[in-house]
Amino acid sequence: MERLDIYIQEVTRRLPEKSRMEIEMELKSTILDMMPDNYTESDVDAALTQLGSPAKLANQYHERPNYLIGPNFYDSYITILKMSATIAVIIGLIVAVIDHVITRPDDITLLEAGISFISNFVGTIIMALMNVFAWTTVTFAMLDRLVDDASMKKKKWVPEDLKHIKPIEPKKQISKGEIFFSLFWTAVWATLYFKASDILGIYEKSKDDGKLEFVEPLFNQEVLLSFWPIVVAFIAFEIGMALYKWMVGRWTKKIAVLNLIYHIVFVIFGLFFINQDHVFNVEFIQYMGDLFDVEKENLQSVWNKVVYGAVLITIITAVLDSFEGFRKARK
Amino acid sequence: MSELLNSLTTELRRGTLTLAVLSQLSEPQYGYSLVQLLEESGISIDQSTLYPLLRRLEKQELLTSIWDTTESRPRKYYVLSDYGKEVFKALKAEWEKTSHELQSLLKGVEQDGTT
Repeated sequence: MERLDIYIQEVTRRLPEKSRMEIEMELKSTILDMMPDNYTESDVDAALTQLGSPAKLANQYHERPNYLIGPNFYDSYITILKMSATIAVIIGLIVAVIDHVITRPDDITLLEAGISFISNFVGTIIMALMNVFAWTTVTFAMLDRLVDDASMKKKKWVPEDLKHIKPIEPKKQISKGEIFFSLFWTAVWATLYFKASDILGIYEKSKDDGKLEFVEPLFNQEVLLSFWPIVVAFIAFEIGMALYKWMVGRWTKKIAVLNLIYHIVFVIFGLFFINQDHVFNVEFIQYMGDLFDVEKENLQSVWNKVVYGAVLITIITAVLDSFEGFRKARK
Repeated sequence: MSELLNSLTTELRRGTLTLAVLSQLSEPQYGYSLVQLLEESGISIDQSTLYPLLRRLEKQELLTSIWDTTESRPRKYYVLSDYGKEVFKALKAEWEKTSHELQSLLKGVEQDGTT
């Protein structure tokens, strides 16, 4: 193969397939034009030198943006990335500590325990950070492309647009801290949900060495995990909501309504969830019954009271938070 | 300083490139003949910029192109479309206005500097 053809191939292989043929023909005829009819190798080299690096030339032919996240979103992207990474590290730390407390064998030295803890922690963190990075990047890359197209059709900005934007009052303002904590909360309960069988339940001090041992989980893991699609939807909604709140930057009626809807759906799901058969681990209930000296025949009704107490607390919290949302929006 | 000057010069010229190309395309030209035309007027153009630019202008419907296969080797000829002619006229007027304004601006500086 001639050097000339290799050059052209180096350019066109970097281009979208549909324009390859045409550009190949055009380039070839152009390069031949640049040289005398009976060209020598040094003529070819001179012509190719003028055209420069094939990668650079191919880059010039590209019509689509050759970046993942443009300047419109870069700042938000970095902020969210930092926030999510911080949350991931904190959650990773908590999980690693709990994991360590539960699973540490007792016959190892402090140094060994430390090393195993750190390696465990580092592994968890690396996995978590990779996930955070991937998902945040993919989300923003998609956002960048979607919004870019949409804003092209948008009409021109005029100072009149400012009429619809109310000045931000400190009381209505949604701080970065608030966003951080709502994301943090989402991460905490999502972790609890998926790790419930290892974390939520009864711990007992072992008689031999006085260390904590995980005895009985609170939930029936299989029943619990069968709800994962709904839970993932909740997680997605909470994250979306947090990001939306952050973008708007203050409480509005729309956010308050969204918040209300969220709480209603959450409570309904909660009620539906605890009414499923075998949600709770029977062993757990019995253990608690023994612990508090509840008679066998009363156990079920006492347990129900405990559960409905928890539901009541959830409902009260939901009502208060929804109300708070509207209060903040109205002020 | 020269590096900065280089990048500033490139930036300054980038916008005028389209105008220069459009100005030479009332008659059909193929890539290399266009380069020669421009060079005759002293405008040296990075060829790796020119050919992609021609394609882009065609996509923007300022140029139309046709492959001439009658000669020994096929050549792609570009020429201004009607829309391209219109745009060129407007762009030319814009350039003349800008260069006029800039000239008087720069003259002002010169006088201030000398006196």
